[in-house]
Amino acid sequence: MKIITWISAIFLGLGTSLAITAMSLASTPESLYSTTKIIGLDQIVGIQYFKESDYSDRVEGLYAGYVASLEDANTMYLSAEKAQIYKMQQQGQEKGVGIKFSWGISSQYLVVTEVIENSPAYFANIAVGDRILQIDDTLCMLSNELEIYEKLTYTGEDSVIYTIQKQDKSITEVPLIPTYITYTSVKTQILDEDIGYIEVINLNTGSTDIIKNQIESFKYRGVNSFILDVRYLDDAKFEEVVLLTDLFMDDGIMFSSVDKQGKVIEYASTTSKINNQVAILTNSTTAGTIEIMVEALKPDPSIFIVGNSTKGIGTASEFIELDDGSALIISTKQLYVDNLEQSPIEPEVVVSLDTQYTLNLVTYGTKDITLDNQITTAINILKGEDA
Amino acid sequence: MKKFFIITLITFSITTGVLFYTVDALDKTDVIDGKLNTIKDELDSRYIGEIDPLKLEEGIYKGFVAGVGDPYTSYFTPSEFTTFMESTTGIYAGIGVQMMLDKTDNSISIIEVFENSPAQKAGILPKDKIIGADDTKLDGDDFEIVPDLIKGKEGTSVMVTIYRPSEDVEIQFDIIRENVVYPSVDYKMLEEDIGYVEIRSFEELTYTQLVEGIQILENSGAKGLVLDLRNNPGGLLHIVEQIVDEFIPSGIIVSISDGKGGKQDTLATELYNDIPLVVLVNEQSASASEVLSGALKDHGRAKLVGTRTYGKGIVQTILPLIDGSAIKVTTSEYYTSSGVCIQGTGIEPDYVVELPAELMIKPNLTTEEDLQLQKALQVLISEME
Repeated sequence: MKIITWISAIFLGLGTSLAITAMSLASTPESLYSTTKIIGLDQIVGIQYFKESDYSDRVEGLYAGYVASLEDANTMYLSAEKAQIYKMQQQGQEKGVGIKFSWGISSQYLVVTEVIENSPAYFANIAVGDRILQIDDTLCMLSNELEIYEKLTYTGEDSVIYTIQKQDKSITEVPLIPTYITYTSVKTQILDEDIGYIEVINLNTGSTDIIKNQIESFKYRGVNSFILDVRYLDDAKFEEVVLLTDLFMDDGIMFSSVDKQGKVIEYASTTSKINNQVAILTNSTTAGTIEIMVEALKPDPSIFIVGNSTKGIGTASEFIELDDGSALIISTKQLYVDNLEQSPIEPEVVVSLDTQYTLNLVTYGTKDITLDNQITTAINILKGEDA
Repeated sequence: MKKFFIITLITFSITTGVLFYTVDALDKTDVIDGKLNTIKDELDSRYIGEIDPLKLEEGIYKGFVAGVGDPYTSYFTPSEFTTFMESTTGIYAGIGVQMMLDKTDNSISIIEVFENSPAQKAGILPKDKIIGADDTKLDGDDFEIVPDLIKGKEGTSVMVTIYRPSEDVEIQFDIIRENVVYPSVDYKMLEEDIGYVEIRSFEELTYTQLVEGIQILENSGAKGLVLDLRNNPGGLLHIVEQIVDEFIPSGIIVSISDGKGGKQDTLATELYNDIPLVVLVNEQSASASEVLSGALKDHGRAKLVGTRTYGKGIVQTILPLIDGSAIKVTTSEYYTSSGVCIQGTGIEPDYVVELPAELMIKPNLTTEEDLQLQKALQVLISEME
């Protein structure tokens, strides 16, 4: 038989086969994805990737990627482990070593910005301003970012070795075992003699009561203007947001929600409002359900929104546990005030954090209120001076 | 004719058999199917936003590949792959800046403004932070997409909004994109007998430009060189290997290991330049810069001054798939000749000099303010004696 017949026969066979494979890489209408493609990807990654990797990690990634493709900050998939951690966080409890941190200015170390009282780090004498150079064998560098975050959020039983550089440049290795830590919802202090400053760290069940009591306590001491700092609040519980907004509003509908089925719920104020001037501090990290409170309170002439625009997430979400312990967080309600479209909420007084404040934070770990110009602007407004 | 069909059939069977052999693992995907459908049902019944089935499917492949936990291993959809290929072939022109992600305040910081670039002509300075492009507000979360927003067709304009930390001001610049090739090597005489060479990145012409530059400096009386690799994000491996070779007489330039036992060494040739050398590095010196500084340090050829380098020592391969999508996979990592794994470790300088915070936000440092350069000169002068 002629060579050319051989060759053309082989090509035809190859061509048909490849065409069918290519077609099979497209998902069929009934399936959500192409099985052949996933298996192919698994093979390629397994062979090519320079380290050993687990198929189960890739499968978990698959579920996470599926939900993440919606590009909704309030909607995500949680692995069983992460679902557990989330449930505890909702109760104000976290398992950790008690360190809050920021990246250092060269991104080659972490700076401790807070040590939670009675945490493992607290008992190990780790202080604000200390640098974390290494965790176990991993250097704290941007090139190791994912590994570092995993180690910082480790919730197992083994000890994790933190290599700490103190302010006097001495270096020590500190083994820490994560324990259950209860975070306070709220931190307060009196600024400038008569401004009650309330930093809202989390808003879980009961947090509004704590805030209400704190306000009463301030008033008792003759402090009658307040700053409510929600700049870093991105996981407020919706039911608490309703209660907190109620604290500052009189009768009437505060805001409404609508779900996928079109069902509308109106959230009405049930208590009378606090009759004091309040400055609410916001930033781009003011995100999620707390934003509807900011939007609802903005028109009130005795309430001032100060800082930078909020993130612009206008939904409330639900936590749904699946059979195998993993879970979904899904945005289920669109929140709105007066039928207006939700978008990032612009403060009435726009002021950005000074570079000095950030430089001080990443160098010394301290949050110097005197350098926090968003707070000082709020104080000036409440005192009746020009911003 | 009959034989034709038989051969076709045999080829088809073998090829298809091999390709679909993997489909035998269908058992594994049954579990995935079940769970995905549960998730889909929940989303369909509750999710308040819009659901795009195509995007969901893309998310599956993206998430699966990302599941290895490596930020550099990822899946490209067909359209993303096209954009990626276009950006590397230079079809889209830029404004002439190099950016980095600043973790301390989650912002996009400009590390370098290229000479005679549209950005420089407009008045953009190093350390400026990009906070907007046309109508889009930007912060560190948008770092990946910023090049897409800034780059475009040559001759078109883009409105770039920056924040300047040293003056605490926001400025808007209307910039016309140009397709300019920026020289990757810059050199000058510092003191009577010291030459200074800055290598910005490792491109095709970098070796030639470097050798020419050193020649000119030596002719002008340079008896020692400061080689500045600060803020150099890397580039072509074969070029940096040539540069290492230029300075070392023998031995391993770099080792590439695939993490599963395979290893490949590149060796130096005999000829080399033995001029006294001090190398400047910082936390933004990455990849090929680390190969160069690591080799010079390991061979005792030069002292390093500055701060620990970035720690990116991996090689990625792009693998296109039949349907137009592609994956980028980390396939190997670099080791210096003494066995230091660059990835996640970086190269530690012999003399650590950290710049204080105020100087780190200053756009252009004078020679006196540049403490790292001052130390390098000090070290070089004592080497030359």
